Amino acid sequence: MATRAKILKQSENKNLIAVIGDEDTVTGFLLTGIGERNHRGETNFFIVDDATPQSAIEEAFQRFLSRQDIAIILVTQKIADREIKHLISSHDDMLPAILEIPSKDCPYDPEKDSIMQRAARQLYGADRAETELKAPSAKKVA
Amino acid sequence: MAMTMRILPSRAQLQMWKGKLTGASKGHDLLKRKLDGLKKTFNEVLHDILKTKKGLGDDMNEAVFALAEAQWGAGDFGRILVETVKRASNQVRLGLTPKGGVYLPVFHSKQELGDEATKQLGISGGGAAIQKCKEKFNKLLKLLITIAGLQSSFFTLDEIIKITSRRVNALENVVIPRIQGAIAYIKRELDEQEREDFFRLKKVQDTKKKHIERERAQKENEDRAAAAEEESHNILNMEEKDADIIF
Repeated sequence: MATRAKILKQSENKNLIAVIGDEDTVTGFLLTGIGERNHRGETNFFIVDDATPQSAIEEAFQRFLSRQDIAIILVTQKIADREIKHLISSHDDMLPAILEIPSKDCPYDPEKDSIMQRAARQLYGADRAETELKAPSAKKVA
Repeated sequence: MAMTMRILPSRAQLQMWKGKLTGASKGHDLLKRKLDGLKKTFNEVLHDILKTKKGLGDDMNEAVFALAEAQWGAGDFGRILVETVKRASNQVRLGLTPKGGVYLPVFHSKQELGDEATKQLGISGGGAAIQKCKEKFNKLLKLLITIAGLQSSFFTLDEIIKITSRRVNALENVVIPRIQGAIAYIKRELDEQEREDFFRLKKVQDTKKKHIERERAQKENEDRAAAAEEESHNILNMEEKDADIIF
């Protein structure tokens, strides 16, 4: 276990929030002022549309992962689920934290969130995890 | 077993191993308690994650609706925004809060005022809608930052729980039995030594007794011989003391 000082030192320059998502989602988050373009012209956001190939998304995601200044990566659930699920599942470090967020055309579905799945499995056990995740949405409908 | 062969069975060693056993048991006890505490924290974090993430959908819907309003008012400003991005005015900073003997990561929002890029937006119209949209997304972002902290805590705790339970198991199944084995071995050897000593003492006593008896017998024999000699001598003496014969 890393000591407190070590963790703080490692995360000293990790201040940015990166976004991978459709244009509207990225625009919304850019409004809050999280966007950054550094001196090399690299940005911390990546806009995905229907024409974006999977390899480009993967590459962008890997680039965000390996950058030293990114603390949180937001990925819309649609993209996370379809394109880079394997990369997110295999990510096991504390930083950067990867968050699956809902997007405009795709409502949030806790059943598909890899972190939620893991959390529910640990909390309720593997067999009850799915029903526990489903329960609240069922309540909302009723 | 190979390990127990190297132990020197002595009282001092026994004392030392007993000390080790007490230490190991106490460590095992403490670690087990720590593990229980960690598991409790872990469950709390999991509950928090599930609860906050479930609420995420509604906030997102509101934010997206506000964005649609803003775009209706101000046109498609997304492209301009992307082009004008320079420096992030909204950043996060990692902090660590101690909880149950571990430090859990928490993200703090670090907002700087005066972001030029968004201020110029909506000058020609739709400024209010953009501001509203901005607020909604800020709210959403705050929630996301909280979740990010919880998620990092989740990973950290997961790792620490793994390490701690590994330690507890190692103590319980390897270290403590080994120490107990060593103590049992020393006790066995000490008992064996005691029995040997006892046997040796008995043997020595036995030999001593035999020796003494033999000596006594010898002495008796000598005495008897001496007595006999004396007796025969007396006979001679008696003869001498016979009355003189007078013819």
